[in-house]
Amino acid sequence: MELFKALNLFNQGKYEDCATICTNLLKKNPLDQTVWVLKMRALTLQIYVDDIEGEEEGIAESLLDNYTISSMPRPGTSLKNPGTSFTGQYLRPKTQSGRPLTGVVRPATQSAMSQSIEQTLKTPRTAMTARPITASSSRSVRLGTASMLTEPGGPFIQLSRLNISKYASQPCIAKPLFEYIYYHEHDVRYALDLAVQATQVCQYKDWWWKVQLGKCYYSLGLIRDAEQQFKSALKDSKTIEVILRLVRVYVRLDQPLTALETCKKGLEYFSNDVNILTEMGRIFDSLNNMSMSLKYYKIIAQEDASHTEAIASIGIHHFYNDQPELALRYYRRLLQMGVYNAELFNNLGLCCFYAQQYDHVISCFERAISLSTDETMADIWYNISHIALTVGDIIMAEECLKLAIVSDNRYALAYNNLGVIQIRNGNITAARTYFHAAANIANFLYEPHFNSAYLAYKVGDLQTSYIAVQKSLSTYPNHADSKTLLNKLERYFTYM
Amino acid sequence: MANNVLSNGRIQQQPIISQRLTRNEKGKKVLEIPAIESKNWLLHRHYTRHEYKTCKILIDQELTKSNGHSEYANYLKGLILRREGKIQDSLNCFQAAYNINSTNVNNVKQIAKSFLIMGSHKHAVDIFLEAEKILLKTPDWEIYFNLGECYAKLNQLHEAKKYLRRSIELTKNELPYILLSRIYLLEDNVTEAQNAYTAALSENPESIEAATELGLLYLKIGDVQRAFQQFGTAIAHSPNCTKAMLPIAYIIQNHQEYDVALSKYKLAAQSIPESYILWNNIGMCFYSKQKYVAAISCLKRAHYLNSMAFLPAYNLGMVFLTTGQPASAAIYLCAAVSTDSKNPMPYLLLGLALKRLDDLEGAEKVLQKAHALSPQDPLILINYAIILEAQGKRNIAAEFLTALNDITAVIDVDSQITQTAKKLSMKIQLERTNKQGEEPRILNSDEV
Repeated sequence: MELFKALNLFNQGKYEDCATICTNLLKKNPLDQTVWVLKMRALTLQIYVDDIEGEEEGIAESLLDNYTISSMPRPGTSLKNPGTSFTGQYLRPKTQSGRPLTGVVRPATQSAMSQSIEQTLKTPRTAMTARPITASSSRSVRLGTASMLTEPGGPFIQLSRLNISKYASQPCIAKPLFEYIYYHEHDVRYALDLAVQATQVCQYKDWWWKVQLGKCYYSLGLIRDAEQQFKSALKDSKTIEVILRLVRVYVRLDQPLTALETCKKGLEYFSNDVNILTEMGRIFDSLNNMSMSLKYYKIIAQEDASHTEAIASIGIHHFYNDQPELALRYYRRLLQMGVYNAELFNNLGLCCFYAQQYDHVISCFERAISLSTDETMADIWYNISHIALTVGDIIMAEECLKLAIVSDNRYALAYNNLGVIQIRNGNITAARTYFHAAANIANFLYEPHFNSAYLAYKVGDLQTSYIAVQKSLSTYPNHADSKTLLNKLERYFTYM
Repeated sequence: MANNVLSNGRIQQQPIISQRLTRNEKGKKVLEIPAIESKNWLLHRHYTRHEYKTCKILIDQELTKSNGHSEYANYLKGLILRREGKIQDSLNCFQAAYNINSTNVNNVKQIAKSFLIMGSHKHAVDIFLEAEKILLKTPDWEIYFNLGECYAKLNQLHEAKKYLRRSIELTKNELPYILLSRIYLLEDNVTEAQNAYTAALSENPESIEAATELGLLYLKIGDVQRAFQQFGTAIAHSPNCTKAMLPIAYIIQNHQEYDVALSKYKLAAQSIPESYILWNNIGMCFYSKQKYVAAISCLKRAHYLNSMAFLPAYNLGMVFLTTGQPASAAIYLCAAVSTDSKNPMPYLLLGLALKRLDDLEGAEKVLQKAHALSPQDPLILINYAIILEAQGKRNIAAEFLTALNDITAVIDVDSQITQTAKKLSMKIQLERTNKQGEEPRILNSDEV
C-alpha cells in the first residue's frame, strides 16, 4: 500500500513526499530494490535540469583549454574571428563584456571570446559582477551541496562504497543509478565509471549509454571523446537531444560551419524542429551573419508563435535596422505573451520613442525602472539619457548618465557620453578624464579610444593621440575617422 | 654615418695593417674601432624594409658591442621607438645620439620633433632654432616648416607665417603651403589663402588635400563653378576620396539632380557609413524627391549617429512638419534649438509646429525669440504677424506687417510672402475673425 502511494505520488510529480515515504520503507527493508530505485528517481527528478543550454564557459576553459584547430582562422569560419561579415559596428552597441548585443541574454553571449589573458581576467562573465566564473563546474557544485543539506542523516547513497560493476550489469538499475549520480550527486567521475562498464555489458549497442558517456566526457573537458560518442550514438538512433549536444561540441571546438552542417543533417530527420533551428539562428548570430540568423528566427516564429528568443531577436534586428515600428510590434507580442520585466519595458520605451509614439515613452520607462534590478538599472538610465539628448535636454541627459554610473560604476559607455557632453560644455580636462576612464574599463569599445585620440590631437598631444587611435583601430579596423586621424599622425611618427 | 651608396655601407679596411696589428694587444682595440659603424648599412636596410623586430635585435647587439656609443644605432632605435608610440624613450635615444655627435643636424631635428610630438612646443621651437643655426649655409625646409607649425600651435601667427614662407622658398612639398593657407584662413584672409592653395596645386597637381581644401574655400565664397572643378580634379586623382565626394554630391544636389547625387552618396557610404553628414544629405535628397518615408528613416539614422548635431535634428523637424506630424517635429526642433541657440530658423519652425498643435501662446513666445535673433527676416515677420492675428492681437500684427512692407521696399521678398501679407492686412482691416491665415511654404535653408 505504501509503495503504491509512493508510486502514485511519483506520477503526480510530488517527488519530495514520494522520497519521504521511500525513506520510511527503506528503513523497514533496506534491500528492497524497487523502493531504492523509486527513491533514486524521485531525488533525481527533483533537481532535473535541462543541461543542454546550461553551460557557461568559465575562465579556466576560455583561457587554458585550447581545442581550436587553427589559431589564426580565416574570417567567417570561427566564432572568435567573425570578421568581415560584421558591418554594423557603428549601429549596434556592445554588451558590457564586449559582444554585439543579441536579442536575448543566453549562455555564452555574455562572455566575450577573449584573445588575451588580460582581457579574460578583466571582462565580467555575468551581466553585472566583475567576478569571473571560475569554472563551469561551479554551478554543479553549488547545486550538489544544496541538495546534500536537505537530507538529514547523510547522503542517500554512499558512492565510494557502491559496487559499480555489480549494478552496471543490471540495466534497469544502472540507468536510474547513472542519472542519480550524474544529476543529483554531480560526481561525473563515478558516473563515467558506471557508464563505461554498463556500455561494455550491453556490448556497445545501447545508444543511451553512448550519449551518457559523451555527456560525461564533455563535462570533464574531453571534447574530442565526447564528439566520438555522440556521433556513434547518432548512427544508432537519431534524437534531437544528441544532435543538440553534438552541435554544442562543435561550438566549443570553434567550428561553427561544422555545427551548422550537423544542424542541417538533423533537420533532414526532424524537419522544422524548433530547437535545432534555434541553434542555427544562434550560430549565425554569433558569426555576425544577421540576415541568415533572421531567416532562421523567422522560420522558428512561424513554427512556434510564442518562442521568446525568436521574437526578441527579430525585434532587435528590426530596431537596429531603422524599423522601430516593426520592432515595436514584436515587443508588444512579447508583452502579450506575458513577459513582464524591466528589459522588455525598456525596449518598448525605446521603440516607442523612435517610432514617435511619444505618449507611451515615459510610462514604459517608469515601469522599467520600477521593475528593474541592479543589473538593468544602469542600462535603463543610459537609454533615458539618449532620449533626453534627442529632446535637447542636455542637463537631464547628464544627470541620467550619472545615475547610470551610480548603479553600475563600470558602465563605460556612460563615461564616454559624459565626456562628449563635457566637451560640448567646454570642459576639456574633465572630458579627457571621462574618456580615459571609459577606455580603461572597456577595451573593446572604439568610441572612447577615438574620442580621446581626437581630443589629444586637437590639443597637440600627438603621442597620446597616436597610441589611442591605434587602439581604436584594433577594435574597429574599418572606422573611417580613426583611419584619417592615423593618416594625419603618421606624418609625425614615421621618418625615412 | 660615413656610408655612401657606392661603398654599400662597408667601411674600407686595410687588411695589411690590421693583420700586422693583431699581433699585439693594442692592435685588437684598433680593430674594433671601425666595427662601430660597420653594420650601419644592415640596420638601414632592415629599417627601410619595415623589419623593425630584426632591426631592434641588431641595434641592441650593436649598442652592447659599442657600449652605447653607436650614433646611427641610437638614432634608428629612436625612430623605431617613436613608431611604437614611446616618445620619451625615443627622445632618450636621440639625446644619446646627440651626445655622441652634436654636429649632426639630424639628431637635433629629431629631438625637436620629439618635443613637438609630446606637445611642448616652446622647447621644440628652441631646439629647432638651434638646428637652424647648424645649417645656416644649407637651409632645410623641414626645419622651417616645423618651426611654423610650432608657432601656429603657440598662436604666434606672424612668426609662423614668416617661417612657412621661408620653407616654401625651399621646397615644392604641399605641407607648408597648406599650413600657410590655413593660417591665412584663421585670419580671414581669403585671397592670400586662395593664392597659397593654388601655388601648392601648381607645384603638386596631385595633392588631394590642397584640392579639396581649395574647393571648400571656393564653396564658402560662393564660387560653385571653380569649387566643382577642384573637387573634380581631386576625384580624378583618387576616385574614392570621400572628402571630395561629399561636397561634389552636395553641389549636384543643389542643382536638383538628385539621382546623380544619390549615386555619389552611395559610393561614399561604402567608406564612411558612420558619417552623420552623409546620411543627413541622403535624407534631404529623398526629401527633395518627395519620398518622405525614406527621408525620415535616413535622417533618423543621421540623428542616431550624432544626436547632438544641429542639421539632422533641424531637417527631421522640417520633414515632420511637411508630412503633418507637428508633435514629432516639435520634439526634434527643440533638440535643434538646444544645439544651436543662435539660429533663428529652428525657432521659426518650432513656432509653426506649436501653432499646428494649437499652442498659440507657446508659438508666440518662440517667434518672439526668433524675431529677436533676426529682426529683418521677412519669413519670421509674416509668421509672427499671422500668429499674433490668430491670438487676436491685431494691432501688434499690423505693426509687424508695416515693418514687413518697409523691408519689401528694400530687398526682394518671395511673392508668396507679399501675397500672404496683403491678405492678412486685408483681413485685419476688415476686422474679421477668420483664422484662415494661409502659411507660406517654408523654403529649405539647405544643409551642409
